[in-house]
Amino acid sequence: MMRVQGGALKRWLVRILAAVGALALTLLIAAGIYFAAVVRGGFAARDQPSALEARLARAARSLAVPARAKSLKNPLPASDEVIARGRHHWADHCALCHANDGSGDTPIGRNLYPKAPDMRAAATQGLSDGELYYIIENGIRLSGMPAWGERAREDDEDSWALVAFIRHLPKLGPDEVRKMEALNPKSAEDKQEEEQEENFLGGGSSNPQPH
Amino acid sequence: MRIITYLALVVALIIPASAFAHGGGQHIMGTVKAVDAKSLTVETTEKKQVKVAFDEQTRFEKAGASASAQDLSVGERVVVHTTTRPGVAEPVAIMVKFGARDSARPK
Repeated sequence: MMRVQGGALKRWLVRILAAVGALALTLLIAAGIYFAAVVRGGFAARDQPSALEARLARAARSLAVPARAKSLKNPLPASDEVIARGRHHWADHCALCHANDGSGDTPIGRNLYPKAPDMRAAATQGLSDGELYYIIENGIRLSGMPAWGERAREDDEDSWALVAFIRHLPKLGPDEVRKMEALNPKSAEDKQEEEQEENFLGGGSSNPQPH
Repeated sequence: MRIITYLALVVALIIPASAFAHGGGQHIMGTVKAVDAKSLTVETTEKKQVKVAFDEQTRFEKAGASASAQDLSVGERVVVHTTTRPGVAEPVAIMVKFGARDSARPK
């Protein structure tokens, strides 16, 4: 009786091992094909991350935020004053990559890998206040998002004002965007180009004006 | 050591790294040759004709104030900031500026 049971167990174990081996072999072949395709195609930051990469990166980002940080609530009210403070800070520090309207449609934002996300979309708006705050303060590894805050600080009002502003992004109006444009950092070249454009629209030449 | 290098490479492939680029934007200056709700044709200061598409993110600014494509007229001076979008052949306008601000008018 015992011998019969032992034989069945052995057969069962062999089947499990064969299934695991087949699965491992399949995964190895798939990884090999993927690796060969990537090596052949080369790397470029302008590529769009695959759905698998995007899913893995979001999962990794979620794991990187401690549970305590996720549960934090914005201590600042979503008042006009707080939103204006966040808008000012966003225009000055964030818009270069994320764009004034949060679309990520800037020369840097659309050419990063991964791309700067559309902050108005559900993938960002669905994050908790604490997750947004933690990302602003601590950045995201292996992405273009730097850490703007100090380690383990939970009371940075500038970052909380940004969280309030991020929540406001889906309702951002064109007048607000125009106000932000005046606050965006500009190089001497940008300023000259802007002046040249205004001069052209005013009926002048399209050539740079002497100073 | 080699195995660790290969593993690091595989991880780097799966979890993306960042990089910077200059982008494919253009600033076009010229006069309006044709305009409709979906696009604008500009004759540039170099006398070339460039067709630019509008999308839902295109903004229009007349003398610094919000405007729309309907406010544009043929023969008017215009500055268009463009970008490229996947699947769209022509450049797409991000911002269309026209009409002089008071400070830019010749005195």
